[in-house]
Amino acid sequence: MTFVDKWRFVRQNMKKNRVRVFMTILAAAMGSCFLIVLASVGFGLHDSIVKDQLESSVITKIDIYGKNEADQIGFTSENISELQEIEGVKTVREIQHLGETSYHIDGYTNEIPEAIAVNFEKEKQVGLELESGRLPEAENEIVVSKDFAKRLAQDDVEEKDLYTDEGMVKTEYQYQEDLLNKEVELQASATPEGTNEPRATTETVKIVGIEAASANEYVYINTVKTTPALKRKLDETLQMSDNYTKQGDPLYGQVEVYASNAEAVDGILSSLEEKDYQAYSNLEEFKNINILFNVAKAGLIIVGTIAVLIASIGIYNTMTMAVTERAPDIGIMKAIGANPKTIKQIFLMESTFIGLAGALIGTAVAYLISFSVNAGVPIILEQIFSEEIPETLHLSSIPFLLVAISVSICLIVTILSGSRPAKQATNVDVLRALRREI
Amino acid sequence: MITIKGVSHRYTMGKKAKETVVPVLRHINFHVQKGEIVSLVGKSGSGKSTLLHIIGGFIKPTSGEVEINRAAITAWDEGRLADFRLQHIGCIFQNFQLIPSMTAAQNIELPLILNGTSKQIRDQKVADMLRQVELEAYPHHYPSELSGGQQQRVAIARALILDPPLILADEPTGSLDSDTEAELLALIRKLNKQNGITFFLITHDQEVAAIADRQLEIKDGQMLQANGVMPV
Ligand SMILES: Nc1ncnc2c1ncn2[C@@H]1O[C@H](COP(=O)(O)OP(=O)(O)OP(=O)(O)O)[C@@H](O)[C@H]1O
Ligand SMILES: [Mg+2]
Repeated sequence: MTFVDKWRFVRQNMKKNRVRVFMTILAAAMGSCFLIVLASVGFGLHDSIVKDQLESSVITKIDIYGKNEADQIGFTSENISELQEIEGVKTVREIQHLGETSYHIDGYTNEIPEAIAVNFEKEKQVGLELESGRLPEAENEIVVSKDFAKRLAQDDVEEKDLYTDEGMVKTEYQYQEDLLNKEVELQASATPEGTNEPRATTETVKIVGIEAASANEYVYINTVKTTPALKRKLDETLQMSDNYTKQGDPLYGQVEVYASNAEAVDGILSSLEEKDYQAYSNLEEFKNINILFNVAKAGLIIVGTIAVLIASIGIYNTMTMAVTERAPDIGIMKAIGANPKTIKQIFLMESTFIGLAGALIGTAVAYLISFSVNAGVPIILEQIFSEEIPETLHLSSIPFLLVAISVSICLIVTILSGSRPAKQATNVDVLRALRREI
Repeated sequence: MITIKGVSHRYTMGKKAKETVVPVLRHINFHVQKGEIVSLVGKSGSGKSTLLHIIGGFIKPTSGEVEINRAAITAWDEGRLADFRLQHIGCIFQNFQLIPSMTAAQNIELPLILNGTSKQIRDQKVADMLRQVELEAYPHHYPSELSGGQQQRVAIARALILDPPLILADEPTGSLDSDTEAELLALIRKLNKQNGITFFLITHDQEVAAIADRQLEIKDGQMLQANGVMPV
């Protein structure tokens, strides 16, 4: 019997029981729709929470703590070029710390910024953005963070009056003018090794640029970035020779390696281990978050599968009734010489069709629901909390993988639930059927 | 064409613990040649239908062997029997056994569909067959819209459509009036003469028995010899 003829039989059979078949397809569609919509929330949240981060520097950055065998403190230029050679490395950011520094302007002081000397070419590569001004070119030029000004506190105020409960400088005591192109006094102090006399020096530096604010508004960033040349000048005056090799090359206190993408991080980490570097990457933690999300998604899929299983009871019922109703016809066909396999196939085709139609309709509706949830829920949330919801937040997302999983689950479940009735059909006793006993 | 060797059959009834065994056929032996018309007569309940069902492969005999067209079918599984039946045996049942939701033409077409014949050839063969059983005016009638004789002819057409070498019929004239019966008998004789089809007919009608080349009689599950004597 050809496939086309079997399909014709299936169609005729379904036509005779249109309503019943429709209801069964509806149940299967609701099951698979529920499965997809439920799991799509897991996929959506995972995407919007983790995916953004994955592409950002949070995940491509690797911190280098040190090198195991070397007894020097800090990293040499050779170390930097060795790191730069590793496959998948985009940039190696080498950092010198300025040590204790404070900044003074017109009776205002910023006491506690993190001051570093960096290579500004590389800063641009790892995403340094300026709100105004330009990058330092001459020795005595610096860029400061957006929040630098908020930490510039008036000098002649009592310390207990200066700060808010959160430890921030009160607005009325903050420096109010625009800092761009202002000259400030940089005061650096240090205690060289071997002595216990602290030394201090001052330099006049010019603020040539102000960094753009951080995307995260709750984090205060109080930094000063300057040129390696200024760092050398300060060290010379303070006689801090530990910061240099015997040949006079600078030693870098901190090194960060940036991978060209998240996938390259694993490879770089193992190369670093081979070369005896101690390194740390956020990727490990992200892996844990990913595992957590994947477990949650699997859980949602399992819960959704229960809905499909409930729908499968309907399919089992429908197919059993179809077999019972058609038992006399099945008997006649078998008497003529229909192979039991053929009869089984016809019934399996019918249940498979019901499952497939249900899965497809369910998927289509799930897409509609997911679309309207993504469009509607942020609006509702904004109304309720009168706060803007970030555009990247997708409550529900249906990747192709989820559709494939749901259709497979739906098909497997329907084929399984249709297989027993189909087996019953092949077991119809010809003589009893001919005597209309069944 | 048909060789029956030492076939016995018992029906087992009732639940496992207290089952009763009804012996129906006892050590039957006979042979039907190709191109013969053989009739089987006997009292009601003597086991005629049982024997026919064994020949058709619907029941497995308790013991003994059945050969159809030199194929020993007794040990075959259901699938193989079904395929064999489709190709080699046409069955005509007592109550026609047409599928009520299919038209006359569709009922006749069924074996061709099961056989995997293409639609084009199917249409042509069905049209030919409708002409042969003189139903060319009724292809789209459902069984319920046909008379008993017409239904019986649809059943015969369906049995013949794949040109099987053997036709088994259980009381083919059972519910027909004498005129229709005569027509049917003429058709059987024609098919036998023209196409050399072997017929094995169960009947208790003398007119049907009369067209047979040979008559077998069964009594209490045993085959009587040609002279009507019980075998020893
Ligand atoms: N499925 C069955 N289970 C148990 N006993 C059966 C079954 N079919 C038939 N019998 C018994 O076997 C015996 C023979 O039955 P069978 O139908 O072969 O007779 P028959 O010769 O065809 O009769 P009739 O001329 O009335 O059709 C009967 O006694 C019947 O009760
Ligand atoms: Mg009978």
